[in-house]
Order: sequence, then structure tokens, then C-alpha cells
Amino acid sequence: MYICFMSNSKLYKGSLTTIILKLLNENDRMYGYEITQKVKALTKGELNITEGALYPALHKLEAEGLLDVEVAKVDNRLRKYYKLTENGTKETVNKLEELAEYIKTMQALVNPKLA
Amino acid sequence: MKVTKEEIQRIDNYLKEGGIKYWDVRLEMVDHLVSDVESYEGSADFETLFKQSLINANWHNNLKAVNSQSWKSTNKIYRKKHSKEIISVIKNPVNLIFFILFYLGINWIAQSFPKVLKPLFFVVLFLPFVIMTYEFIKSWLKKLGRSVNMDYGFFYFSFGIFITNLPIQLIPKTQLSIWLPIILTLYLIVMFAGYRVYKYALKKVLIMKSVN
Repeated sequence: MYICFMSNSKLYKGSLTTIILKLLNENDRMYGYEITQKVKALTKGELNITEGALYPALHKLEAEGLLDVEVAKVDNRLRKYYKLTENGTKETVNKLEELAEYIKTMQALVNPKLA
Repeated sequence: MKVTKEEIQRIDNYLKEGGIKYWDVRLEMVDHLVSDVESYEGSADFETLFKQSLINANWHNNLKAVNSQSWKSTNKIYRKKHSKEIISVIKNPVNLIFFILFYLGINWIAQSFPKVLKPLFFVVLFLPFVIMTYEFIKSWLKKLGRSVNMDYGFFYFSFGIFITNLPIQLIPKTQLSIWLPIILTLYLIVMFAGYRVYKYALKKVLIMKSVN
């Protein structure tokens, strides 16, 4: 399964990449566990990214050149930090525009008065 | 609670024994589990918290599946990287001129000195193989451990050998002088791209090792 949600799971699927990029755009660098906790906190537990989905997604973004990896030693263990590359920052803008357009379209369909 | 060095080692061993063969896959999992255990406040013991963290991450009873998933997703990454490198090798004008000249040279030899073609073919075929063996020994001496990055680095380095083998066996002997120059040129392009993928994997692993 991609992402676990308390409700409306189908509505959120496919947005994992945008969520990761947006978070990294706001925070200079983040590690896997930090991303899961940040998402949980921001959505008040409504959205819970599974580890089985997060790490492959991070690795894919890294391979696509959208993320850079830094490895640091933290308290007797290694930690992989992810940060946006220049292309990653551009892609974040595109993804967020796509998402805003999607929300606008859905709003026009579901609640035309608000659109 | 603060996790000790010994407890971190215990987590690493647990993952290793559970089926996560590669240290560069375990690295991120260990950090995830330790971070989760350390996020608990209160007086629970390490073993209880560790088991809870495994459940939270859904790693409590399917480590072999996690290993195979990481293996597949890493393959996807390296396969993509290899394809990108092939395109980048061809797009580079200097490389392109080199490969065109190489093809023309081999083609000229095939037409003018057909007897030299076979030994020349083996030299071109085995030269990258010699470099690969040298790199393998060098990385083995560096004691890089069982790394998924290195496994795929070597796989895509040797990929050219696998894909060249089949067409060579299928070509009729009478057409060897036509097809061998083409196959050898493609082989060199794939091997060169594979070498760059291998170097990328090695660099990645060495960076991780240097921090440790």
C-alpha cells in the first residue's frame, strides 16, 4: 500500500511525490523518519506515510536527480538526509501548480460557488 | 529513551538475520527504528520499544519482502541510470566521433583483413572485462561489505557482456564481417555507460563509508 490514511485514502494516492518535494522545499534537508512524523503532525494524524512507500519514493526522486543525499553520523549511527537539487526545486513548483490546478478543477465540479 | 551503541548493533543484527542482506539498505532502516524508539518518553525497556517500532514500520514479519523490494527498487534506479548514461555517452560529440571512428576502423579491418577480425574481436571484448576484474579486486580490497549499490554497479558494468553474447551466437558465419563491427561498437557504448554507472555506485558507497 502506498500511504495509510485515516479516511479518504483513494483521494490522496498519487500525491506522495508532491508531499515529499513540498516538505523538502520548506525544510533545507530532512531524513526519512522526520518526513513521516512531519506529515503526521501537519495533518493531525490524518495522513500516515508508510515506510514501504516512503523510502522507494525517496530513492526514485534521488535517481531522477531531484534530490541530493548527504550522509551524516548522528549518535553512533548513520543518517541519510535528503535535500532538493536545483531541478528538484523547479519540479516542486511544477507539481504544486499541477496540484493547485487539480484542486481548482475539483472545486468547480463539486462546489461551483466557491470556485 | 536514548539508544546505546550496543542496542543499535542489536537492531542491525536483527535486520541482517531477518533477511536484509545489504548494509546500505539497513543503514536507513536502523536510523528509522532508532529514531522511533528514541521518540518514546517513559520507562519502557528497549526490547519492548524496539518490537513496537518494528510493528509501527510494518517490518515485524516481512523483512525478506522488504529486502526484495529494496533490491527491485534499486535495480529500477540503476537501470534508469544506465539508460541515461548510454544516451549521455552518445550525445557527447567527442564520444560520438570516437565511436564512429571506431566503427569505421573495425569495418575497414573486417573488409580488408578478415583474418585479423577474430583476434581483434576478442581483444575488444576482453579489455573491459580485464578493467572490470581489476575494479572488482580493488573494491574487494577496500572491504566495502555487501552493498546493494555495488552489486548493481557491477551488474550494469558487466551488462554489455550479457547482451553481446546472444546476437554473436545467432549471426551466420558468412555475415560476421558485417555485423561484428556494429556489435563491437554497441558493446563498447554499453560497457562505457556501465563503467560510469559503476563509478557512480562506488562513489556513493565510499561517501557512506567515509562518514562511518
